[in-house]
Amino acid sequence: MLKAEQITVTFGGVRAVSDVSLAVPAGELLGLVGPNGSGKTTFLNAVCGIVPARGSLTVADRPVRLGRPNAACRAGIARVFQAPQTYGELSCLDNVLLSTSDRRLLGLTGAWPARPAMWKRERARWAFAMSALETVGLESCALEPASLLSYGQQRLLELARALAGSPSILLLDEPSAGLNDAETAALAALLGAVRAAGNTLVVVDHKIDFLDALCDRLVVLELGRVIASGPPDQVWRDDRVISAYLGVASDAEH
Amino acid sequence: MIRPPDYRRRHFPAIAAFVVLTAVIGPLLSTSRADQFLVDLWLVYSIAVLGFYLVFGLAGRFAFCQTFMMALGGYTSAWVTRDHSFLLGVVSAIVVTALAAGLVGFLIRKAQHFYFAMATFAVTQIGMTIVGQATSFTGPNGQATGIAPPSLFGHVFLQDADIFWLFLGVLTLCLILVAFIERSPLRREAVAARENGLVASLSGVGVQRVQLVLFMLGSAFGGVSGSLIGHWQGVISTDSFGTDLSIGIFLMLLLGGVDSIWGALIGAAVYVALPRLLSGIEHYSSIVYGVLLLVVVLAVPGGIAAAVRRLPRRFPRRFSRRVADAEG
Amino acid sequence: MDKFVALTASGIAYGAVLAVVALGFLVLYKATGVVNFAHGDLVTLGAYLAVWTTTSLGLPTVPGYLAAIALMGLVGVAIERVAYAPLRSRPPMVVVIATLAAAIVIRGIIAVWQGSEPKTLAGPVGNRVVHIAGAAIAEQRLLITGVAAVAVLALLFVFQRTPYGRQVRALAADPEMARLTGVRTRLVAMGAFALSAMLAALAGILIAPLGAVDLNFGFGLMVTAFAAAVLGGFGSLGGVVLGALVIGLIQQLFGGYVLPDYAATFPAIVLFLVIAVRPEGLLNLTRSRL
Repeated sequence: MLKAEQITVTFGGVRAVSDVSLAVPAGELLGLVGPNGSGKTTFLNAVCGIVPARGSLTVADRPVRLGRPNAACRAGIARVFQAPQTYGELSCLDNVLLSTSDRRLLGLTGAWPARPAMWKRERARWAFAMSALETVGLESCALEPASLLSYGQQRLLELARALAGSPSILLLDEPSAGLNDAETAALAALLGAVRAAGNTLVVVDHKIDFLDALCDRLVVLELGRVIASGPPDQVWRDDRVISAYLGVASDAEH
Repeated sequence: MIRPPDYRRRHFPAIAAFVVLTAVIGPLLSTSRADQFLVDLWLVYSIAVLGFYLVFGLAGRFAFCQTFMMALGGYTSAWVTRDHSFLLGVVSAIVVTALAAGLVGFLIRKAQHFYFAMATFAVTQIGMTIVGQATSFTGPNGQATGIAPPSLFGHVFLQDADIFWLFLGVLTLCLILVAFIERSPLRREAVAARENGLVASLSGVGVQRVQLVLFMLGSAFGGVSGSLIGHWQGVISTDSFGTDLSIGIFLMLLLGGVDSIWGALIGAAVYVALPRLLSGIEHYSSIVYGVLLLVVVLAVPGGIAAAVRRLPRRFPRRFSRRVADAEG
Repeated sequence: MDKFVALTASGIAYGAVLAVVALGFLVLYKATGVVNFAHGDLVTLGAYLAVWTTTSLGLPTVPGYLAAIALMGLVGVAIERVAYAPLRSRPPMVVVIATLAAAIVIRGIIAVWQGSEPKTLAGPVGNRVVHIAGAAIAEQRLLITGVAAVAVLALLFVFQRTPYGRQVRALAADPEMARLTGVRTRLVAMGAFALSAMLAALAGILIAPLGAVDLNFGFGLMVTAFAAAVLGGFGSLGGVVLGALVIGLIQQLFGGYVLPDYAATFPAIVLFLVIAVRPEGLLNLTRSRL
């Protein structure tokens, strides 16, 4: 589904992500791990087009222009941020409506001359957005402003917004951060259900148990490079992964 | 069917109530010529500030060129009506200001916040200088004189009392157009683009397009207002649209409230009425405006409109609590 | 040739004043993050205060100027107390609006106090001129350039070499971190407001003798200075000085040779073009952590 080749991001001389190539087949749930500062979030940012990057990216075999959030969105890439990015002033329903995949009659034409047609489309959009809110269990807060939600709820809202765009691939950045054990378990169940519905996901996280239970495959980054890839139990036995996390072996040997 | 909150607000009954109320109270207030002038001025400024609401309140674009758009609309209309009808003058004012805003907005589509403010201020400065120099278009010293009074369907609006009805009509039309936007997906797209453009564009919102459209539309409202002022007064000069009015437009919207269409009307009313209410100390009106703005920003960040909107919510709640206490 | 020399000299003098205005603006921005809409009106107020100290109080020129600058330091502190300190934790937009309110109040106070008639400020060197390469150049312009250069160098020294400058730079780089590591934000803010207002007054006093002082005197100067700051990159003090000189020269030379009627618009055109080409300036104000 998603194929990233030799993605490189530099910040003023520092290579935050360096020649990372990654292929995610349709329907897979891929875990992306690595120590702090290994470039996981930057890699996601590059794929979403919100930081300038070099390399090539295709979604469903169609090339996607890097550095353009709108292009990433059109290609079917959706993102859930680590710090929830919701619009506090808008209601939860409006937040979800923003990413609707039916983008016709959203402008002045819909507001003025074509109101009946706009209303028809809007009704369909509302229904669809409500179903996305129901998926994450936020339907009871649909009309509340998003600023009243808790941290965890805001992340669920963002997930609903991402799902409402019917994305080809969904990128989640540390979805379990700041959640307690019960909430993490509920999130794992939810992501499992999302995946079972046929979605493709990439999840960045630090909670190993959470990822091991969910993922088919893990990719490990260190200092902006891929150092290991494979099923979770195999990855965790890899020497380079162990030394990357514990920071011992390699320095001592050389 | 669950509707988003923006579709639940009762814009049209409120507009109808406003029009009826103004139609009754407006003539009552206008006992003298000076008062009639102020009422008309309130209506025509309201149109410009309503446009500025679209640009600044809704799209969050810190534009400093609304007075230039008013001037451009005024001069364009004055020039066109030398040979053509009033209606064509107004329409050409709309078209020209929308196109001018489109060009400016496109060139600086990526500029944010303060940079946008300064770039649009530069536009005002350049535009006003050109207008002052292009005497064949405007008139000697940038002063257009002898502008024909407004006339519609054979009726010529000569008296200020007549003009009142024309301005109220145009303002009503503008309010309806804005209310349609408030009750459409364009509103949520604009709010999202304003609050966090990057994330909005990742959701598929055409951030730059939304902001450009609202900038053009709001500027066109400014053009209408400027055109009406020209035809009403018969004379306009670059002084009619100077720095004081630039700051005044901001003041009106901020005092009234940036987050509803009523803020524009309330702010314009306060701005126009204040010098009259302070008669005797008009000298200090500018200081009063400034202090008032500071107080409003500190006490009710949403402006007077937000304070008014909160009242009815507060009272019934207290009332119902009291009822509940009594019953319980 | 003499015309070129004369225009260059006035361009440099004008640029020097712009640099002082822009630096005042920038000092405040760096220390507090406030984009001060009232800066132009502070320039106006400084010039009016100098008119007042030299005419109404009858002080000799230079002590009168110094008194005006000192008073402006107090005005800066007062603005910090009234319009900024209560808003410390509010969103930036509210603070910007508060500075706009301050601008309106200052403008109103000047109008009530001094009336709307333009005033003139006597310069310390009168109308004397010197001849350089055949061009007659007002001594005031040389004085402006010299004083502005001293002020800019002093400011650079303060920023690079003193504890105060270090604290301001720390606040500019990362306000949260600076606060946590013990930078006394209140004092730094108060100092920045005072310094910024004094620089505004200095600029106003330097340029006022070349023309007349009215209510819009400082506002136009602020916009032009902002063009200089944007051109210079908004970040580095040196860049801003360079930008100011370029803008000053463009305005005088183009105005002198090409389109004299439009001279006032050149800074505006440069400002617009720079923003159109580099929309985020060189400094992204909206960078958020994602």
